[in-house]
This record gives sequence, C-alpha cells and structure tokens, in this order.
Amino acid sequence: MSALTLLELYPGHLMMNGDMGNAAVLKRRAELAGLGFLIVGHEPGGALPDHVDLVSIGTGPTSAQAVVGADVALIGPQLRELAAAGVPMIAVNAGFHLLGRSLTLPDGTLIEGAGVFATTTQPRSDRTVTDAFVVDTEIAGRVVGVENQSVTVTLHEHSPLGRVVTGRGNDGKAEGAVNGNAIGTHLHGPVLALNPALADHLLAAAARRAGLDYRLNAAHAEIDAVARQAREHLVRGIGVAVDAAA
Amino acid sequence: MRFKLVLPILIGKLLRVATRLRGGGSAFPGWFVMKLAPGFIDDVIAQLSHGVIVVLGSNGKSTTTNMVTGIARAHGLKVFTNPSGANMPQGVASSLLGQVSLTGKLPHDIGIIEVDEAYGKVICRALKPRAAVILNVQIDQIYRLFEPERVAGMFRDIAAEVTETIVLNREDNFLSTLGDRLAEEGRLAVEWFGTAPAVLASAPHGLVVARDYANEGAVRAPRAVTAEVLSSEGADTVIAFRGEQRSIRLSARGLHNAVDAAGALTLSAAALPGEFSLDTAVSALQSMKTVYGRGETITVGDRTVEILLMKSLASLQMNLDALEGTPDSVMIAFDEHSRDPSWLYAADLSVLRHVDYVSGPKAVFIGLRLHYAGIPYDHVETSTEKALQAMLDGPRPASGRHTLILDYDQMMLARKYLGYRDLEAGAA
Repeated sequence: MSALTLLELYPGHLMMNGDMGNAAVLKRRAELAGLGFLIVGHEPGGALPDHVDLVSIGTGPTSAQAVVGADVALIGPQLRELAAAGVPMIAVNAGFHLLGRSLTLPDGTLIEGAGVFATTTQPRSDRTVTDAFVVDTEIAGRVVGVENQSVTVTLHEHSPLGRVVTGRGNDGKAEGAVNGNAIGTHLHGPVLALNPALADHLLAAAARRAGLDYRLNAAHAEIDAVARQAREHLVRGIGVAVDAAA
Repeated sequence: MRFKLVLPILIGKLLRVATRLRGGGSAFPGWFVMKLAPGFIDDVIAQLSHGVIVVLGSNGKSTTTNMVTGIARAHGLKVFTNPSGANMPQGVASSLLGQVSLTGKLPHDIGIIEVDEAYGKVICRALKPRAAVILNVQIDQIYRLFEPERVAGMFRDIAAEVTETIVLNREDNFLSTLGDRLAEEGRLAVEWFGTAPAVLASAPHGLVVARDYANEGAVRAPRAVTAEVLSSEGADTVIAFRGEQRSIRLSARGLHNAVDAAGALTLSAAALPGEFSLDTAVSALQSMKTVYGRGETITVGDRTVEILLMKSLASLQMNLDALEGTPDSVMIAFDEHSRDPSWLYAADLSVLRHVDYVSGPKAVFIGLRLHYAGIPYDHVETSTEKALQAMLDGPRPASGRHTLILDYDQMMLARKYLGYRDLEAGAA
C-alpha cells in the first residue's frame, strides 16, 4: 500500500476548535513527501475501516461528548489494539479525554473512554484560556499552541507529553499523555500546524509501520519556517523563548 | 426629575467630546454617566413612542440592524441606533449621550439596538425591548464564549427580558429549540423567518450554524414562517413575506444577507404593527447602503475594491460561498486580537486558487493556513495599508476587482485608508 489512511473520529461532532486541521496537516505533509493520503471519517454507529495507519480526534462541546460517548466505548477495544500495534494517534482536548479511561461531564455523567491513555478526567468550574500555551516535550522539543479547557486530567500510567511552561495542561504541571505513538494533548492551534516536528514524528512512525519512506524536502522546510514564525508570534511578549534551552 | 440629569449629561457630553478629540469613540462617557445617574438609560428610552427593539446573533447583527433601521426610517420614524460595535451597556449609553438634550430629551421614535450576546442580559434589562430578533447561534469567539450551548443559554436569558415578540431563525438548531420552548410558555409572540429547503441544500456549507447535539432527532411541530428566502443568487433574493413574493436586490451578496433581510422584514413588521408596509420595506432594502466592510465595494480609480469580513468561521465561509467564481486578486488580513487562530482550519478555502497578499499583524497564521490548504500566496505584508497600496499600484486584475477578506480591525484600517485616498483623489 503506497497510501496512508487516517481515521478521523467524529469529525461532525468534535469540530469546535479547528482540530480537523491536524488531519489536513498530516495529509499535506505526507503528500509533499510523495505519499498518498486518505482521510476516512467515523461517526457514531459506523464501522471502523479495515486498515488504519493514523488516527486523529479533535474537540467538541460537552453535548457532543455526551452523544459520542457510547460509541467511544464500543470502538475502544479496536482503538486500544491499534495503539498497542504502534499506530500513531493525535487526540486533542475532548478527544484526548474520550480516548482516556473515563471522563466525567460537568453534569456528573460518567463516560467510559476508549482506554488508549491511562487517564481519568474531571470537570472544573473555571476555564483556562491560554493564548500562548507552551509545553516542553521529549519528542518534539518545545511546542506552542493555544489552550481552552476546563478539566483536570489525572495520568495513572504512561508519560505525559511534556512539562507545562505556561498554561495549565493536565494539572498545572504535566501536559497530555503519550502511549507508544499515540499522543493526547490540550494544545490547539491546530497543534500539528504550529508544531511540524510533532506531525513528522507521527508521520515517520506511520510510514515506518507501512514500509514507506517519509522524507522531508524543501517544501516542508518552507512551511516549517512559517510555522516557526507563528510560534514566535504567540510567545512574543510573554517572556518565553520559542525554543527550550538546550 | 429631568433636572437631575442635567449635570451628569453635561459632564458625559464633555467627556464624549474630549474622548473624540483624542481620536475615536469611547464607551467611557457612557460608563461615567451611568455611575452618576443610574437611571439614565431608563429615563431616556421611556420617551420612545415605539420603544426599543434589539438585534442579536453570532453573525449579521450590524447588517440586520442597518436593514431594520432603514425600513423604520422609510416608514417615517426617527430612529436611534448604536454605531456598529458599540453593543455593550456603556457603549449604548455613550451613543445616547450624543443624541440627548441637556435635560435628557431624546428626539426619536424608536431605538434599534445591536446587542452583544455576552452583555445582552444586562443591556436588555435596561432597555426593556418590545421585540428582538436572534439571527443565529454559530461557533464564534470560543476564547470568550466557550461553547455554543453557553451562547444559546445567554439568548434564553435575554429572551426573558423581551416584552412582546421574539423573531427567530427557523433554520438554526439552537433557536428552533428555544422558540419551541417560548411558544409553549406563551408569554411572547414567537415569529419565525427561514430559508427554503432547496436554497439550504444548494448552499455549499448551509448557514454554518452550530449543531445542537443534545436535541438532535427530536420530533418537532412544523413552524410557520413570516418571511422565507426562496432564492439567493449573488445580491438578488426572492423572499416570501406572509405569502407575498418579492424580488429584492440587496446591497451585498450572499445567502447570509438574504437571510438577514428575511429576519429584518419579520422584526420590522413586529416592531411597526399597523404601520408596516411590505412595499415600503422592500424599497428601503433595495436602496440601502452596505454596512461598511460587509460586502462593501469601493471604487478607486479604475479598480473596484470589495471588502468582505472574516471575523469568524461563519462570516468567512458565508462570504467565500457567496463569491461568484474564483477571485483573481485577493488579500487576506488577520487581526492581532483574533486570539485563537485554530478556526481558520475549519474553513473550506477551496474557492481560492491564489492569494496576492497575506496581511495584518497575524498574517503569518493566514500564510500557514494557506500552505496547508495548498493555496499559493505571493506576499506577506503585515501592514494592511501598505499591502493595499501595493495592490493598487500593481497591475490591474482582469476582473478590475481586488477582493479584500479582512478581520474586523483590518477592515476598519483599510476603509479609513481608502477614504483618505478618495479625498486625495478628489473627484475620481
């Protein structure tokens, strides 16, 4: 197979914050590297495609989380299998919480998650909006985005994606979760558009699994320079450097 | 009674002059007069024979306020309205300050006020509107409004302050739920405006309204509409109003403008009972000027400059969907205060093939978005004025038209810049 297939979970429900951009970013970067790329959407009640190389899930309002909750539990075993097999995933905000073990909605409803990440998520009464949300990660260095969430995430095993430099993340200290090649985070922007290193980490893993070569070229470098300027713009004025100290 | 107002009004008016001399309007004089005379707004609006009506919604407020104002004026009424953007309590008080006499006399018949959703409850408690239109609930400014459900809740609270009639968009998921609830309560007259199913089906992205996941699939009774958009082609629309069909050429293109017109007609009829004439209203809509920056076209020498607003996903998408083919000369400019650029990725930009200038303080975010959409762009120039001048100095596009897709502040800057040019160019 010379094309990568990305499974986008609930694009009609979890579409509040432009995280569908993550799928578009992965597609564009794969195509610029000469790889075919197919995006397949999944909505509640549907069947997952037979072959999946990458998974993307974004965020949506509480009402949408309540609606997709039952389906998440249903496809949870398949998603855990994919994660265990090393399929790269990017899960943002509500999508991250839904792919965790469980999520409690503001009205107290408990939603059983997919269990890809060893997290439990509790609502908070206040909301955190961080215009320049900065996280230091092992896999992609310093990443920058926007935060807009009102939960506390407890990570029971697995590593966080990184350490919070500005903003709140899971709990004020750690941000996100990493299980193999699956990444959960609160970073918007979209996260992969602003932080191509993270996108390349996922694409390289997907290509490797598929026996393909994901090779960067000048077209990627051109985009990466623009993405860097965008990150620089976000951190301008908050006294945080765009790169972490070595 | 009135005498008590003289001093606060005098001070407020002086402050207003002072802030204007410093450049631009300000809500501060309004805030100040409300501190000195908390009953200021009450006292002033009580003089309006037709009371106050308000315009609400995620998008289209300024356009609809402009339309209803034009319709009311065509019916011979003296209208007090707030300049677009001044849609918070202090802002309205500031605008009132500019109109009242020293004893607080307001020489108008009706107030037609655009209201921000987040401040709607407070402002409507003060204004006691007889009627309100709510245009739509869209995903908008999530850094301050968070979720559409929260906005729908704000509208529910605002509806509780309206005294007679509420006008709602039948095609909006949240508003249809709200309207059904209000109809059941029976306190307010609920009137609907809508869009014919065939028109909705042929709109590339519909009306870009938010989904109401919690209430999807609920069986609903049919809702009769007062005004319905039967077709929308460019700026031409056919609207059926209480069964009478009228072809109307609006001042700006797009289905969103046609839907706003249907809402404006419905609200106007509710606000002017006994006086409303459909012929008068339609001719008012036909002869209306665009609200600045909303589909406005400005002639500069041998060029036409068209300004489209992109202050949210819905406004950008509806404006792109209204384009007649691929524009051959395009500038997109993004504001610094557009805090979360993520929503740019929710927009379908495929109608664009090429962009000449990305501009505004956050130009780089537009550039990044275009890269990922595979749409090439030529220049990055963060100054909207410089980018605009460079476009005008460059070759004339085949269409003769430069299409400017601008965030709010950049729209204001571009307009100011073009106005200045007009003065310089004299009779051009």
